[in-house]
Amino acid sequence: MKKFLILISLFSISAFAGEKIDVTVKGMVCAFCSQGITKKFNEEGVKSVNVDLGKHLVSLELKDDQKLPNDKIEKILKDSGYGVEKIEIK
Amino acid sequence: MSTIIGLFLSLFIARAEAHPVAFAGSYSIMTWNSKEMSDWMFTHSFTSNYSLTARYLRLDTKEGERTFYMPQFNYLLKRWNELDSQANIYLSASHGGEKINSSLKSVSGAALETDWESRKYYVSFREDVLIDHKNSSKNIYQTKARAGFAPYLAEFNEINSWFILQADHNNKDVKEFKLTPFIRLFYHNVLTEFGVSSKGDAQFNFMVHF
Repeated sequence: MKKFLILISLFSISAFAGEKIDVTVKGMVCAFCSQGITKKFNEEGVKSVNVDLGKHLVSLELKDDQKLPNDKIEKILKDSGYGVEKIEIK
Repeated sequence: MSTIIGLFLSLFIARAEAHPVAFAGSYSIMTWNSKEMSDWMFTHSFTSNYSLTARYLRLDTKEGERTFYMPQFNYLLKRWNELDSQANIYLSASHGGEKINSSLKSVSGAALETDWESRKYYVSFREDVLIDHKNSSKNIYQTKARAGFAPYLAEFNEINSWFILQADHNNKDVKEFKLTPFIRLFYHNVLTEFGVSSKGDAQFNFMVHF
């Protein structure tokens, strides 16, 4: 019974956890100029946004049940002045 | 006092950070200050391609102090986004007034700016012209070239440092040609630069965007 409850709780966590997306961004070389990226994704209501300049990566964690289609991600990055190399849903 | 009022008014007539156009919907304040010059710009970027600036510029020239109030339009002509670098070409056009006694005389301006940067290196070139419609001998031509490097690669949430060497030429400046080494520090959306020119003049630059 205990094992069953653990399994149920693990399933619940994964079912309701927000989607995680890694975006490889072109032109993102300056922290000062990249501030628009975090601002724009926060305005979109994502749970968290992290920028890794070294890996050219913007990592997004969406809220439970939140969806952010690829074309929306591309538009946000274009409005911030950047290009998209790759979008990966983890 | 008139300078403060002029600046205040110019903010409401309508620019920049290191770039004359920032991210869509952003506002930025940029100021460059030395003994001979005070340049203030308040910019709204409507999209990531164009922005509008309210600019106040005071210059000590060979002919005395000159003060300009200039709304300015900035346009990103071309951007190259690569994985490890970014390059840009910007055009700016302005039309405003030069304060002569208590009246404003019509002046126009234009600028071409180009830059290339990676996380480690940075180069830029800017050519500015301010045209006096009634007396071309009073036209101002300014050329500015910069090259810099980062001594370490800072991440997004760290303090970034840069060493920059600026060469500038202004046909009307009391000191026509200057070399100025700068140290640039920025953290998140606030950037400062401090330098002392080959002529011994200190310069302080400040930028913020939000």
